[in-house]
Amino acid sequence: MTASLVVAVPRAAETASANSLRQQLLARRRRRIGLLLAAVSLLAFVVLLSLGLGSGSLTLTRLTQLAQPGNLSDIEWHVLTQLRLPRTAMALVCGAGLAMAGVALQGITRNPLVSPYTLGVSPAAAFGAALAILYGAAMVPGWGPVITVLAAFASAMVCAAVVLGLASVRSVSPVVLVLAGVGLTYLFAALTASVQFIASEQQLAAIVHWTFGSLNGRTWTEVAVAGSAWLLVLPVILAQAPALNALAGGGDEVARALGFAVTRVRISVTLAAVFSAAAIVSFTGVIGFVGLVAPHIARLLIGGDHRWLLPFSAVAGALLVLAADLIGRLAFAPVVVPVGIVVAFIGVPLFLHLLLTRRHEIGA
Amino acid sequence: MLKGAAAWGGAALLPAWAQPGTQTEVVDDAGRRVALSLPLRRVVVFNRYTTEFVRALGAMDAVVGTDIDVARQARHARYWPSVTAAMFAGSSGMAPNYEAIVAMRPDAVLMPRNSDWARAATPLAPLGIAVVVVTAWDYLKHEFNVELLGRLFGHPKRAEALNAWFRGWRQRLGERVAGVPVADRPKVYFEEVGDWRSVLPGSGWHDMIEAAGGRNLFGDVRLGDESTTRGSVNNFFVDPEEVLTRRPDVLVKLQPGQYEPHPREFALEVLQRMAQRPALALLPAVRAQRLYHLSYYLAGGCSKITGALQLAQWLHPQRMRGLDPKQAMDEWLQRWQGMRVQRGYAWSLAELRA
Amino acid sequence: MNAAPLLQVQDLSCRLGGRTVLEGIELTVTAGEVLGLIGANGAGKSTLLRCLLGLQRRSSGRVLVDGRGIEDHDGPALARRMAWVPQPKGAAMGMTVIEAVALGRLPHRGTPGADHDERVVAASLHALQLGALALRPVAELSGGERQRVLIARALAQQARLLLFDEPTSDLDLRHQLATLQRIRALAHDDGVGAVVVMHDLALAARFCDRLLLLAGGRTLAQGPWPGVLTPEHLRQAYGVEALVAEHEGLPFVAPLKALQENTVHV
Repeated sequence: MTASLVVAVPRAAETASANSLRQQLLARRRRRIGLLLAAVSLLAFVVLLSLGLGSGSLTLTRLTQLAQPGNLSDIEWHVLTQLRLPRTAMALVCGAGLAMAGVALQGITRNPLVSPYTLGVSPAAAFGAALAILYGAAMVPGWGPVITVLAAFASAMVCAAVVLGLASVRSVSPVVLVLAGVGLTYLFAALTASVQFIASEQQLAAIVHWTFGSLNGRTWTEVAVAGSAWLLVLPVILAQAPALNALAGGGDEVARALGFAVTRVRISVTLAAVFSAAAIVSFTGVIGFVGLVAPHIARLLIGGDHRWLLPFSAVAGALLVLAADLIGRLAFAPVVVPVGIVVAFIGVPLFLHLLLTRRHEIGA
Repeated sequence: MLKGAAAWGGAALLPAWAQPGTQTEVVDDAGRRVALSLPLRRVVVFNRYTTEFVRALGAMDAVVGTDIDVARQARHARYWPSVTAAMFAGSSGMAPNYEAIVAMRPDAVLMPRNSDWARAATPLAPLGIAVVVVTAWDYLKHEFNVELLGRLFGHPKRAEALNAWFRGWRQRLGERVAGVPVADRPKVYFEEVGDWRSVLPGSGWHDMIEAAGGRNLFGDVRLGDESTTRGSVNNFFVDPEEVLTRRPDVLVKLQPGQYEPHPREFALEVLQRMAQRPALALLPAVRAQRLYHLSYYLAGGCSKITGALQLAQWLHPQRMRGLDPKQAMDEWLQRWQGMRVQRGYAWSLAELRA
Repeated sequence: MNAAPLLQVQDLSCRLGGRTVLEGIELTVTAGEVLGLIGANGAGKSTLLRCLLGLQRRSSGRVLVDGRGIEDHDGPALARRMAWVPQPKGAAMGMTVIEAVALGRLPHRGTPGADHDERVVAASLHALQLGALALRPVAELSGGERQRVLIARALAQQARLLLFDEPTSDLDLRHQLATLQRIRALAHDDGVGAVVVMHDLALAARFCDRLLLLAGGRTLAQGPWPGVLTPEHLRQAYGVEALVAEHEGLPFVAPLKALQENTVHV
């Protein structure tokens, strides 16, 4: 039985304002498309820079000659495909993945301070890696790095399980979830600090290195694993965009009254978000600000509709991380400043600027 | 004040310098003038290198406290048979356990330059415990510190013997590599713990590379004022592309390690993984298998002289003919540390694959 | 008018934390009528509403929407039949008016009705005179305007059954009138069935076709207002001595004095 329109079709006198509304909506849609295109173009530009800047002979101009095959020397080709491309790809996956996880988690908890870092996932990964380093598992020939990554991932998923367990309890409010996440963040940070305390000097250097967050020396294997994890959860999160909108529009009960199985949504989104975040930080180390700041930068520019917000924040996150890596690589060359540090330096001022100029628009 | 202290519980409580007797003034490694009653009878020593020197001088019986944690790490107990769990005075020079130190009633506490020595004086000085800065890992200031230790412990002859031994090796090393023109000094990519973590001028390892007749691949990078950073852990992350572009002639992996050497398979695995890294695989040096695995323990022995010798042999095999770095290490272990000799502190990839 | 009831509640009970909050509730709502839920605070009005929506688990009884139990509808299908207008506190911050209203179309995702989304949202906005405010952030609106946004959202759901939770609290007199007139028009003119939780008895009596008076979790009285708003019922339900009168067809309720505690059935 098709539902007939309960409300009468607007009469002629109101059509004029209906038209102006339609004009405004079209304009907004055009603006959003424009923003998205601009962001993607900027990203493409920064990707080009990332591929074309470095210490070797492979400069931007040389890169443009790529159109004619055979123009690059073996070394240049090797540098491009084995060093710069994987590094760039990892930056994109890392930025997009962490930003989307941040949006998703902020959406289901209705809390702007939530991110993979503040829910304890990233600190838990750091702790797992620290344990592996402490017990010498990281030094096992051949398997060392793999063990460290697995330990980091396992630890992050333990934390995720706790968060998930809380998320699935029906009467647990988002506030409780957030506070639990904060508690877990501190717990794992303290555990990592304890490990650092009893570690030898060399182990300490390795542990601290891991907690910085770095894209230095990433290989295609790592990109493939982290990238696959993200691509796996991408459709899951995108499919929940309407649910996230409903939750943002009034909380759990309104979303349920609009027909969403809120508990199931919460579980699947949390699982997807922390899984991809854990997979990423298990390779890169802790990169703290992207999951928090990129979603908000995106929100201030494109609004809170998750169908736009999710893809846009992925682009924003990728931009942020890639730009940070580029700066970290070039500013003090040949010394590399870990990307986790630079991200804070460029992300936070940008975020604050947007916040101050556009705070009226978010009404938060 | 002496009467007051005596009232506390007897003159036995007083450190040496508070008791009547001659006081000598020494200048320590930080340039401080410290008044002490020599020789020291009860000393807390921070930093393994310093403790090794104390052992080399035959003065271990004066050591009442160290940062060596035999209680938790059995291998330390093997390497330090005379150190007991009760002698634990704090995990490092950055975190001394002041209460434990005071309970040991030392005359002085020896701390290296890269420790919290400036603040340590505050709680210790009122109790008459002197803080003396002695640094035992500095290649360029080896003799000064050993001579200082000799005086502190009353073993000047033994200190001079150690210095002579050190000087002898350094001189022989210098004779072999001193005249090498810059172009013939191989470029060394020296990697610390952590992938892509290399050393800059100001790091003790940089000095070691130079002493061995090599050129630090990143020796031209100046970050900060060297006079303040000197001796600090001047390790930084470097761009893999830079390593490729600068084309090192030799790659050395510095591996954290103790008296027990790493197993051969371990070293092989480490170097092979390194050789397979995308940024390094195309290097001529890697194709020629000029990768080396160096244990921290050997590299740092006796203010890094053993490390410099080994590195020099790798860099200049022809010139170093007749000068055996393993001999230096054996002498260091047997004669100066009283330990059995070991092999396996230093490997080349070619050796491992043979 | 369609004779089949939009909503049927059979012997509904609800226990919360060991207490019986609702017991033996029976009611029916057909298209085109407004049912008012009244009763003292704690009598169970909001709980009943939430049980109807499925937001609150009930201990026994059945709730049938369009003849089927609410558990037998899948989530979006139920939302296309039954819409909720909650109290406006904290709602839809960070969104614009039109985005908040468009949420009402979410239950129509994937159905043929989704093709009409734009038109329905525009119509809902106009029905509530929100056209000029469409692109404003909800956070900037007044209480009355926000109330209208929530009603518009419920309209956008195109549900035949609307449930209102105290739509007039926090509104000034003018907006109370406007809201209730709107609800009555939706029912009488457009065939919607509405359940409205209210605490103002006179307004409830005036704008609702039938009333259901709750006291202590049970139905004390049900039907057109003259049979429900009697001094005896008000004594039992509210513990007040009250005067009920009719003047020019409009009902008036004047509380006179409070009675002893033990005469209230809670």
